[in-house]
Amino acid sequence: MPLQLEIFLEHLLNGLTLGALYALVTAGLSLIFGVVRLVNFAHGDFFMVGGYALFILLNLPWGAIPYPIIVILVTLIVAVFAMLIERLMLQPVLDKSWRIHAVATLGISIVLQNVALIIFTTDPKQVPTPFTTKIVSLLGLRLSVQRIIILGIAVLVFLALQWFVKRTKLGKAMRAVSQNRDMCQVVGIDVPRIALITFAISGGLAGLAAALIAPLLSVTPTMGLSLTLKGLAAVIMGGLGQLNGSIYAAFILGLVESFFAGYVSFAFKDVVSFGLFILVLFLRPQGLFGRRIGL
Amino acid sequence: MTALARARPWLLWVAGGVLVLALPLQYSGGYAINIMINTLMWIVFALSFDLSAGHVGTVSLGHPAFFGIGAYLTALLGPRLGLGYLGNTLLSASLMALLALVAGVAFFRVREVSFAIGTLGAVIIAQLIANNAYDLTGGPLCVKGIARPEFAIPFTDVTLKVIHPLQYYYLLVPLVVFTIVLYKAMTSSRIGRAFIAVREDEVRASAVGIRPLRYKLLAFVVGGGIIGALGSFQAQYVTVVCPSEIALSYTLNLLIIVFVGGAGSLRGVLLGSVIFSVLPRLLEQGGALSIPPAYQQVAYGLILILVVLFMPDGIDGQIRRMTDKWHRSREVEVGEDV
Repeated sequence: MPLQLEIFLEHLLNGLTLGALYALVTAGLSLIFGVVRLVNFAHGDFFMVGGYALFILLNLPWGAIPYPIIVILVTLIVAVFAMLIERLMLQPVLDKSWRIHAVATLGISIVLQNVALIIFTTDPKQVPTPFTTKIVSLLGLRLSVQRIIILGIAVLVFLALQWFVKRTKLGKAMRAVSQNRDMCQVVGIDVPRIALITFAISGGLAGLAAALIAPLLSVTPTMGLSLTLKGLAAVIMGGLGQLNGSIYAAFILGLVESFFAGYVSFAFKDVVSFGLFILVLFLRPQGLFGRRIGL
Repeated sequence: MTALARARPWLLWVAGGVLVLALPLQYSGGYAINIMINTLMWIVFALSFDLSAGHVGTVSLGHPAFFGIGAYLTALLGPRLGLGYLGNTLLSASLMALLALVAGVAFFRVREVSFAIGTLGAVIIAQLIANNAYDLTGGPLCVKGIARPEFAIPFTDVTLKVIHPLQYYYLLVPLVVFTIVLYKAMTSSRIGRAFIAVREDEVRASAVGIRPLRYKLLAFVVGGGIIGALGSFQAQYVTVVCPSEIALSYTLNLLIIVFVGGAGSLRGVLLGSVIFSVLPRLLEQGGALSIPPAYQQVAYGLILILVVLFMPDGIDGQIRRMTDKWHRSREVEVGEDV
């Protein structure tokens, strides 16, 4: 019996880690969709870019930088990267239909994946941090410090995001843009600037996710796609543009996947998560936590 | 002059038809004919996709499912039922049309982005099942040894076995013609105008008595059926069906063809299919200039972004704008002459 409990806790922890990964990715997708009505098919590739940034920073020729500083650097790098992408390629088409957005961001995704392929080849890159191999015992459960860091930071980030969107002036402006862009222009909100900041935050979240969670995986050029797909599923499950709803949905997906993979079948775990997504789509088209409008 | 101008579209079609029929005879090698078969297949695939995506405005990212499942139907049911080429094709087509009907009723409950991502989810599930249901599909080991089409020639004992790419090419032509004629007939009639009404504004369309769901389903079912038939052809052509036939990369290619060519336009989609199928092969064949796949993909992606930025209506829109300008400048000249 205790053994079974341990296995259960193990799957629970795996699910929460996976959920944190999906949630950080999904939050960025959800913000971009909510504020600028753009479905970003290149969002998972932002995570991939973060993964390679982490790989480079961990293997600098002149010795290692402390991991906390690396985390901040990777977050900033991907945030700036996302801003560049927005300014150069997406800003001119932001007022077009979502079909145009889909084609543009798919184009960006193809370019990013293949540039990564050319630079880094298909070999998976391991990015271990000092904490991935450090194990602590908790409640008779052996777990790596990296996982504890992931869960702790994820919770902090979501609380901070909550505060930012609800309380700060910038966050309020983002919510306003998400509800009615034209009126915002009328009252003097700089909509293009809000869009740019949204991309920066979204990219930063993807970068943070990469800096924290890529060490548990390995980095490959094509890793972004499946993340984008899971993230989009969570965004719609949570209710399009509902930031909190999409974060909850991401954790639900992570937990369901982890338990199904552990107890039933590893091969079919994605069938179940996408099946759950489609079920939600049919039963609650507005999403699990969907309201009609706004962030 | 005016008679010629009036006859021009017809002449173009006749010339195109002769070209399609005669061109493969110029090549003895299988490679060139393979490219041509590929081009025809993408024309059929993309036109079926464009019926929904370009005309009704419902962008399904799940169209490859019809292709892959259609191919699997032929691979798995074909030998058990002992159907010939026509039987296999019709079976795949009708079952995929049925699947499109069922999936359509379910997925058209949601719109736009949710619809696109929902259908994307469905195609991922289909691929995962094909990959992991070893008992049924053999998983990544594929279904092999699918029978090649045979035709008994009437009044003789001779059966014609389709083996050479050239034979396959001519076997595919009827499906291409059927698709183009059906596409043209649907989109240039009342149905086509209803499609566009639904695309532009569903609420207003229903206000004038056009039922959006009905037309969305019509385009989806016709497209699904045709793609099912195409999948069946593919199975009998390459004689192997793998899970990769239900690939997301097909969705990507469809988006590239339709949106770079010009969504909702026959000329645009035809141009897109030809360019997309021939250009990469030419790049590969460049010999000294041969470009590794990753660089090709980067070029694709950049083309996609540039088209979206600078030619939002695709190649077709660009051509239309240029010919409009030309016509206008001529009109002015004629006016001055008089």
